[in-house]
Amino acid sequence: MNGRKTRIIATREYSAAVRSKSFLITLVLLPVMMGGGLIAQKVGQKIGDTSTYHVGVMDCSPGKSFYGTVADAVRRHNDRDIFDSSGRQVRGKFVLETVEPVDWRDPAALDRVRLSLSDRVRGGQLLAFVEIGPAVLSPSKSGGDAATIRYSTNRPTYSDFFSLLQRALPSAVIQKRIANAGVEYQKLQPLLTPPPVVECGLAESSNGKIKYQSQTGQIVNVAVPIVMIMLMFIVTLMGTSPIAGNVVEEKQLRIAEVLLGSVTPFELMIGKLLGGVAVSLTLAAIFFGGAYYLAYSFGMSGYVSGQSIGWFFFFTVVGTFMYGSLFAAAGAACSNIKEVQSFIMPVMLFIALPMFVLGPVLQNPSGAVGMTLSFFPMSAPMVMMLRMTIPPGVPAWQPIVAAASALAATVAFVWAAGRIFRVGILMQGKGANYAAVLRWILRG
Amino acid sequence: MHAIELENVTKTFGEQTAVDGLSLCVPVGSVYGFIGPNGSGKTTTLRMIMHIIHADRGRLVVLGEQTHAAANDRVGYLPEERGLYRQMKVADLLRFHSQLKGHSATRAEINGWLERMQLLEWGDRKVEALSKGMSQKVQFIATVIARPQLLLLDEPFSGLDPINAEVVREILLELVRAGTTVLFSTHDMAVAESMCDWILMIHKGRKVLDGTLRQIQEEHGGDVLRVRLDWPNGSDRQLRDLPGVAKVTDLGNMQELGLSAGADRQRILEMLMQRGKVEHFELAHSSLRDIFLQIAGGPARASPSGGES
Repeated sequence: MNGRKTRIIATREYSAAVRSKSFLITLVLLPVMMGGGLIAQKVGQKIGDTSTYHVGVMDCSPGKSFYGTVADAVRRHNDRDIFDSSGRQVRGKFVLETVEPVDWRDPAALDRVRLSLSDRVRGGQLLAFVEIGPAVLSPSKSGGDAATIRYSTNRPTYSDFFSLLQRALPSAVIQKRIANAGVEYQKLQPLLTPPPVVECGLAESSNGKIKYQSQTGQIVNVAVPIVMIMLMFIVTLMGTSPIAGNVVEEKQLRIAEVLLGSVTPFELMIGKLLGGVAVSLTLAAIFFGGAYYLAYSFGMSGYVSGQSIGWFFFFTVVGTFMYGSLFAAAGAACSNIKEVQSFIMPVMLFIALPMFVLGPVLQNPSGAVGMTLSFFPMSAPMVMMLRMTIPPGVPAWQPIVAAASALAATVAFVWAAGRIFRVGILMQGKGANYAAVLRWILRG
Repeated sequence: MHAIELENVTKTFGEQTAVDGLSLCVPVGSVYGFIGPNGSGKTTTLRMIMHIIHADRGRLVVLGEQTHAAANDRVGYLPEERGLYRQMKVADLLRFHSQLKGHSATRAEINGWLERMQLLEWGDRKVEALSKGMSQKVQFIATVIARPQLLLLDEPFSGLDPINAEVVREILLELVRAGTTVLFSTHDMAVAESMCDWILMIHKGRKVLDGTLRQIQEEHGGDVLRVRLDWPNGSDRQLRDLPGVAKVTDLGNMQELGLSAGADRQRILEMLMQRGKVEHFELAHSSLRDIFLQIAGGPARASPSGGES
């Protein structure tokens, strides 16, 4: 292989990619999207919610003991909790409506009331309705529905009123039960206060002193793997996915044959892969650099070790080569972009696999899913990176074995892609199917 | 010394034999014309010489080398289907192609070529802004900018207007004078006749003609008379009746008379003058076009004596 020619092809590919609109858009949009949640939250807080929500309350408890409790909680909410520090309303206001209690032993009557209230919720007159069962004070006797507090709404994602209920009612019910049992609640209250369970960091020795990781550190320890894996996923995709389209375009515009007058198909393909790797590394360096600068500014740079950064770039290069070779082969085997899209679907699934297993791997990095996928060649770069950055990390041999597995697969993929590329690059008309591609690999 | 040597080269695609046992030698410094009907195997042969596709059998030697890498930088290749990166600037594109050949052309050099092709003001414009003819010219410059020792051109004149075709022709002859070997395929028999030292015709993958124009004409053609007559009517039948005339071809404003062996040209002229006014009388050899049609079996305008003319 002629290194000079490969470098010239790679330089052109890189130059064309970094001048493309999609590259510039990604450069600007990715940080916006990654910080989008925080921005949206801030914007949401600024805009606020000045709505007034009506809630129906049917208190069937003996003596309608708890309507007043809910009303007090709503009053406190409306007077105090809906305003920010500057006195501007940022949360919705609640208005209670009393619903006449029905006889709980008459199921038909109860159903009628529930239907009527549900229709009002559906009609938008009510946010929700609350039913306080007649047996809430003596659950052991009657049990079931009568001993519960029911909250019905068609807006389950709006949780302000539900939270208000959870804070106010259960404790009030228990207080009433204790009072009914003839015990003075004020004496019992300290005994009933549950001890808090608090997440704390480990102790570590620094300059002879014992220090403890802060709670922020714990959160960062979870955020770091997610950010790194997302970053690797995006930069790998940015470096590799355009390769298939570019190859098809070169076939359609007959550029491929002109180039093959100067370079071999393998040199052309490797040049494209190197160009893709350079694009991925550029994006990674920009985003990683930016993120590291931010982390450094907030004194959090210590949460990502130099070793992790090194492995991140290594696995990014390996992943880009591996997936890029498959994209190049797909481009050579297809004759238009539509064919490419269906042809590369399996490849896309493998690239996205770490995203699907993010939850289970975060939960248990050394579990069966995490272990298997971190050594399986096609998912090894991303899943091993994910496991490495989740505390407490992995034994030193594991990234080495994963790297070896991914490298071996990459060499095999590049070899196979080279054979597909050589046959497919000059092919016009209908694209090849998987059987034909397999034949090209085996027979050359 | 040969720039290209092919020995018994064969290439098949599935059941189809594209090139069948082809052998040829292209002398260094010559202009070698490659003719043949569509689908005869010309492009496949050029691709095999460039090692873009590999021969199933046979031996190929290009500039003394049998491998792609060894000779590649010294060979310029213009494929039949032109292709340029549409988003690249013309000058950048030409530099890119020259670099691939290990030349790295300077801007002055690029401008020199662009000026010669009347494209100087387009150097900093993107390829997508060029017309089809301009793109053809840029593609041609990309092929020759590294001053290769061997040029393989697949239909280099197609799509060019006569003025630009003449510019390309001049550049090619200039390169040949400087020692470059040129092998090009063409459907334009007049271009092949006027430019080529050597002509090879391939038909159904097999070589059917190979030699200088004179050799081919002597071997496959014969002498012809081209006459323009001012006769009131019935000229064709009267021409076919002439002694020694084997066939008559209507060239439009002239008639071409194919002569049989031993035909007396002086006697034919005298008989023509007896029958009417003769405006033009010329003794010539069979054209390459006629030989091509005769071998390839195309729709004949010529007809044997006694047939339609």
